[in-house]
Amino acid sequence: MKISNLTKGIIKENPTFVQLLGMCPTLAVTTSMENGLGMGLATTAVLALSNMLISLVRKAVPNKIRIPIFVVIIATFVTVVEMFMEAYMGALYSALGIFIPLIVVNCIILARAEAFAALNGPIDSLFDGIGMGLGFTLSLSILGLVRELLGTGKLVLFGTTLLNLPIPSTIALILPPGAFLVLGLLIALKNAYTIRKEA
Amino acid sequence: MKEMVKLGIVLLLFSAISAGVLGLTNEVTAPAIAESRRAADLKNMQEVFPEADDFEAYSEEEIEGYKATAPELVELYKAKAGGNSVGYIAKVVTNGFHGDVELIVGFFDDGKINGLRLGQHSETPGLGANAATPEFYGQFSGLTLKEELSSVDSSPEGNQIQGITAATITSNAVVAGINGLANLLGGLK
Repeated sequence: MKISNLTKGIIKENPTFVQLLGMCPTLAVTTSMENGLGMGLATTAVLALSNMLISLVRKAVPNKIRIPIFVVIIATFVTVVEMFMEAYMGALYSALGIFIPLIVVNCIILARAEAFAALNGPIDSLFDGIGMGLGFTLSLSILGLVRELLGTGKLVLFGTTLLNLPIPSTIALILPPGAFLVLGLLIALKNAYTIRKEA
Repeated sequence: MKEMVKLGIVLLLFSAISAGVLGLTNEVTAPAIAESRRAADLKNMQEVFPEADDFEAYSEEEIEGYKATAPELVELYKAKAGGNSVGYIAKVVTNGFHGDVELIVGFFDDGKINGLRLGQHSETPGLGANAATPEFYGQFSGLTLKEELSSVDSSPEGNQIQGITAATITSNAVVAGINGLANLLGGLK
């Protein structure tokens, strides 16, 4: 068990800014910080547990058909989580439920199963899932924060307006092109930081 | 050949176990899910028809009959206040950007829309899902089913609403779902 399995996903191997995984939800959902945060946390929970599950069954899975089996396991698991949430956690479901159909098709889950959980023990895989999930949450929140703040001039979190800037709102940033622009600039920023650190 | 059969059997086993787990989960959670959806439906009905204190459901046969003129109709209720009928609440399913979108529409005898809420849907958060915000559904109150509703990009007038920026498909789906109710007017018992 290594603690680096937990921390590496947050900045060094950040799923969004470094691995460029899960671009579809990243671009679609981050119109506000709250959405970014919600999507990130829902993904973290699923990723951590699905990683552990995959790791537990990895020895029973023949190498040649591991991908279809992982897909079946992940889709089943996500559906089970969704059903339980809707049945017994109404408030949480109404907040995060809309993100769940997006998680099933999120390639981060399959990528981590394939690249990590299939080769490592369950505890390490759990940590990897949590770390990657937190990295995803962090980057989606930042992306959402920038887009919401510049796009609407406001920052609203859980129904409360935290910030209200007296700037003209740039609606383009809320629209899909804005997602690409902000994502590109944030990746450039992250790379500039990494290069400076290495030099 | 032998290996292929073996791999097939392993995959079959995993799929069968998954199917079993899903079936079991469904068995366990179905009543609770139905209950929470019913509670959500009731809350929506009270919101689209705050004047009403009772909702009388039409039978399935009656709804089947109305489907001839309004195919997207799923449920229909008579809204009553103090025993008198004050209007109707219809639940329709329209085709959004990511599958079905449930609409709960309250309207008066003369076709005036009292209120609209969104039920189950899986529209994109931040875009289409904004249809479930008061800024969007609030626009429908006071409009009428008698004329065709439409969604426009800016400055709506008359029987128009302003669509959601970057979610044209969702906006149009909601409008189409409501327009589908127009044929019911006059024929309702």
